[in-house]
Amino acid sequence: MNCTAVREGLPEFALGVSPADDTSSIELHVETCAACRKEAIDLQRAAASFSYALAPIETPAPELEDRVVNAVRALARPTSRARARGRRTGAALLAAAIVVAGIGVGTVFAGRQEFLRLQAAQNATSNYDTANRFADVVGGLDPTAKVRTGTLTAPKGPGSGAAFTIMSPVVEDRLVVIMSDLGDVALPLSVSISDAKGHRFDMGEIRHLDTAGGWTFARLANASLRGFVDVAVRDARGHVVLRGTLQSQSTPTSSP
Amino acid sequence: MEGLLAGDDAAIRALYARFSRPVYTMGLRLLGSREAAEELTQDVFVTAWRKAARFDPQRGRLSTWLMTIAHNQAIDRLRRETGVTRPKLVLVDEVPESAQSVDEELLLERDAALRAIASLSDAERRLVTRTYFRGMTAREISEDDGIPLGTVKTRLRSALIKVRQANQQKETP
Repeated sequence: MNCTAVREGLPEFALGVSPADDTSSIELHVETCAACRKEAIDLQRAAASFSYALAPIETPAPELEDRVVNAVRALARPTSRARARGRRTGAALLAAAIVVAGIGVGTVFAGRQEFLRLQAAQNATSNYDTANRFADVVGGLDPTAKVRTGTLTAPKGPGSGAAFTIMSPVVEDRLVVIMSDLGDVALPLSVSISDAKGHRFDMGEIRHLDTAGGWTFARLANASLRGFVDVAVRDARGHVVLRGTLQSQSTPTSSP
Repeated sequence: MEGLLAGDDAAIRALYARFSRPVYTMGLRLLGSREAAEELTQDVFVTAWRKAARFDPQRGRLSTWLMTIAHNQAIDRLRRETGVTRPKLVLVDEVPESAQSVDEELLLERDAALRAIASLSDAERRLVTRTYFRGMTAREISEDDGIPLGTVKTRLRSALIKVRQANQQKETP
């Protein structure tokens, strides 16, 4: 979908009645197009005004509160370490949202440092989420394509990211890397992907980052990426600033 | 902190206290029964917990995000359950302000809703009602009314821009 088609579909998208195919395409587009994203946010805010336009009739039954709390608490109860990690991130973000909204539980946070840590955690999750949504759409467009996704973490210092590869029998394989919060890294950055035998493809350089220290990098490979799962982003001095391993299933992985 | 991350009662109850009433109202007004409204309310809070990682404060307020989840779920249900008679819609400008509406946040949201409604012509209000509250797509309205699809989309966009401008004028007097 190009910008013109997206703009045409945004009113329905904002009003929550976009056809399913359009919704996916618009979501994908606004992740990478700042102008359309701004328009989408503006229209969504306008549409959201109507969410309080229905006249209240009655308050919910008192017992509903316990039902809701029990349902959420049951969901928050982890059944495995991996699930616990994911849920903690989700819970932390929701907690941060509550603090931002100022609805009375701000005291749960120690202060700004904790809040910044949560923001970084959110960016990491958001990067992975974006990568997965890209991958979902690509998978929908080309069922023969194989997609691997994963998170990227910083061995030292700030920064987070996500990456995915698309391997298709009909078009060139490609690598997409989404990164954020890289701070004052030495540019240019170089992106590479390696296999278990140590073979490495240098995929290209990133010469600029946006004001938030982020960038989305996408390159076609001139050879098959089959077996290439270890992604690394290095600064101008050759130090790894982000790395991670991609997996076929949609389970986040990260370097220790 | 640990308690909250683990699904602490107080944190969930704080969120519930803030948003349960507008979510429940949406369920009752759009779907028409207490049972459906209660199901919607529970589903919305569970979904909010599942999707918490997707919430981005830079893209909008928590209230907008949560009420969008509520609206999407209500519309999904409306569209899934065809043939069910739905209640007549009653909007905030059709009833006197409730003496119980003492929550400042709710009053602000209600003001924004009143501004949004007031900014629209009758035709635009009817159009927005059919989409936002009844879940009709632009194509369905185009076919029902016998007008071009592009015209419906343009009118929807124009209505939303009016609402946006009305809210911006309030924010920057």
